[in-house]
Amino acid sequence: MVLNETAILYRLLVKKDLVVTPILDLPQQLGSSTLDVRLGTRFLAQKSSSLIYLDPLRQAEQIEADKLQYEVEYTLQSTQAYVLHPGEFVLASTLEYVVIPADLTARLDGRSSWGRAGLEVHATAGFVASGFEGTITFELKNVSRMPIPLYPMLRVAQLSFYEIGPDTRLPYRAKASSKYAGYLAPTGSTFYRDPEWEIIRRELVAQGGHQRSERLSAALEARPADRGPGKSPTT
Amino acid sequence: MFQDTAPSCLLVASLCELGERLSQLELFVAEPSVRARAENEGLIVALLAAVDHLVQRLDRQVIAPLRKPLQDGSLEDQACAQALEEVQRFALAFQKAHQNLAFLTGHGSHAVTYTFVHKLLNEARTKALPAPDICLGNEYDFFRHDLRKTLVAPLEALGTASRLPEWGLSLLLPKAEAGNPLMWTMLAHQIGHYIVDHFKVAHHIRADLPIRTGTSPQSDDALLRYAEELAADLLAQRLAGPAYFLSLASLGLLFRPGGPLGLGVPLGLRLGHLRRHLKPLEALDGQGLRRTANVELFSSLDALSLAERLVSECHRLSAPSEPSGLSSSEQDPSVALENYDCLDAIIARQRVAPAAIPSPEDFHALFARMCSGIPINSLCPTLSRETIKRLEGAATPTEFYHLLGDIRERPTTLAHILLVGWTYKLLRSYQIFRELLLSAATLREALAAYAGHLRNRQALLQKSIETSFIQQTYNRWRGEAHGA
Repeated sequence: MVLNETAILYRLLVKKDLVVTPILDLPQQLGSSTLDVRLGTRFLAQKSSSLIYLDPLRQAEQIEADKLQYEVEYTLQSTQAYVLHPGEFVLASTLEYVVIPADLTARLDGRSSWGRAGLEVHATAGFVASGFEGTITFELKNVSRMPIPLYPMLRVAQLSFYEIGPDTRLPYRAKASSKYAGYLAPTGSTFYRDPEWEIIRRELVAQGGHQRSERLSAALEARPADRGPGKSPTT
Repeated sequence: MFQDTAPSCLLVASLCELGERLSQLELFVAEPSVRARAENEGLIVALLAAVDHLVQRLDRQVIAPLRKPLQDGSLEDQACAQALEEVQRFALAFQKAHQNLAFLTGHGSHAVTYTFVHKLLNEARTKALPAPDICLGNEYDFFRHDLRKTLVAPLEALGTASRLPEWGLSLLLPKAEAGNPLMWTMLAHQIGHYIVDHFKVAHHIRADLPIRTGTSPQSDDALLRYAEELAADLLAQRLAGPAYFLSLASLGLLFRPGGPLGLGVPLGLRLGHLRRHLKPLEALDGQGLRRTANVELFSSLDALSLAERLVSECHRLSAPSEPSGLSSSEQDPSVALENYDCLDAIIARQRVAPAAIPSPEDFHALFARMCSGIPINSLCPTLSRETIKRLEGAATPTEFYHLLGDIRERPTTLAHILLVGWTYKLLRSYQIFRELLLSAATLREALAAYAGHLRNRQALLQKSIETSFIQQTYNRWRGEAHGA
């Protein structure tokens, strides 16, 4: 069952097991079954580089070293804009720190005003698991034809909360595979840490295919970069 | 639980301070903006090797022989004194290693520091001050203020009475502290110097200081020099609250009194002078706080008294023959606290609103949040169950909003955030460091595990500063925005 406005208030301000902080303007942010959330100050963008692709079959530490070549982090002041150009993608996070108790889950959706302006706030991951703690990462994309200036504190999205019956025994923080709990800034994907990659890696080695993959990577890396300087990685 | 000034507690605190600085240096060179640059690679490898070498030597020379007495609290004064002397030598080596950061390209991340300084000046309502620039420096020294002076000096040496144009205030922050809000309080000291220089404070100090004829010109000179430093200290404490005292004291756990930090003003004198202007925080003490923080290491929970006792004991053990700044006042008037009484009235006249100390209730609430890993950007309101019932019964949205009233979070000030952060460090971080140090096989292992705690603490404080600043900005213009 989705929580209505008084149920949200009860959990936030009486029982206090649901945490969303800061709430800058409660009457503005509270809807009939939603609570608006705002953009934070940190953005994690992708830049063009000599790296052609991220090979998830390499060791996680090597991949993280590769990521340094194509990720760039920005921290904005409250009056600075991050301009998201048409077609571009950037990670950001909520200004709010969120704690979801064990008997609730939450869903992140864009606000209609921003949807009409062509801003998507998440690509596929709009679900916030029970037991989650941290800032929620936005996967921002501009699907319009006009650049969108984004400032910290703008209300770009909303959360709705759902009761899931008895408390889960697997709150997100306690889940063995949870990777994004407790972060205070947008966090890039660590999909390559999923155990499936290790299985594929081992099977490749067993089949002798890993050497082929390494050779292919080496051959690709030896080629001159396709992209000219200054060209956006997402256009 | 040990006595707060037991040698084992003292050594743990001192090692933690050094360990944090070594880890921060490593974290700085691991910053993506620094690490991703190919031209830095060789120097980063060399720096990390140097830090590693320091860590190994510290482990072998200081920690390994004292592991057992540290464990059971049986460390003797003499062994502690020797160990502290070693720690201070390693702190000097760290300072030298820090100088090599000058050769790294890339800036590191210090955007939140700007927010910190803006928040500091906004809260002090000091409109007359320019918005400062912040430069990351390679010297591990917080006391060089206003970089213009550095530029003017060589021109003056050429005999040209040159004056550079006024362009505002440039503050210097050591690179290793770029991510550590607890030490950004030292920027308040630099702002204090700016106020002393630019608002005729120095003039008033010269007029009001009790300079007695018959004393040596050297001691008169020291009296003036010390007074300007103490005035900047008082202004810093007015700006940043008790956290300034705590950050200054933390340096006292690592560097010798009268050592290379600062302008040679005895640290004991500075801390003693500041302490006279701070009320004890005993009201914040209590079993509730002990339970929240899970504190075992120290008997006292008053961060100010704890830091003061640790530093004075550290100086007693590590430098018994050196003047503490308070002992020889009969011979040297420059180290007599009462000679600086005139500063109180002079500083009180400056337009710097004193930082607010949190009430015990607010402090406990924020401290509990920090211990739970939640940012301490605000104090949350509470609704009663009756209000919720009335809200449920509201017939119209207008009635609902009327009942809801003006419920708002109260954004925290820097003084709140930093005092809670420092208390958390003194009570929790030292204890966590001790547990890791004693359970790990080597100091390197302990530092690797401690780095996670350090990063989290710093991220939590940075987030708190940023978010509370945005809240204050929103609140400042909320009325106008709603009326528009």
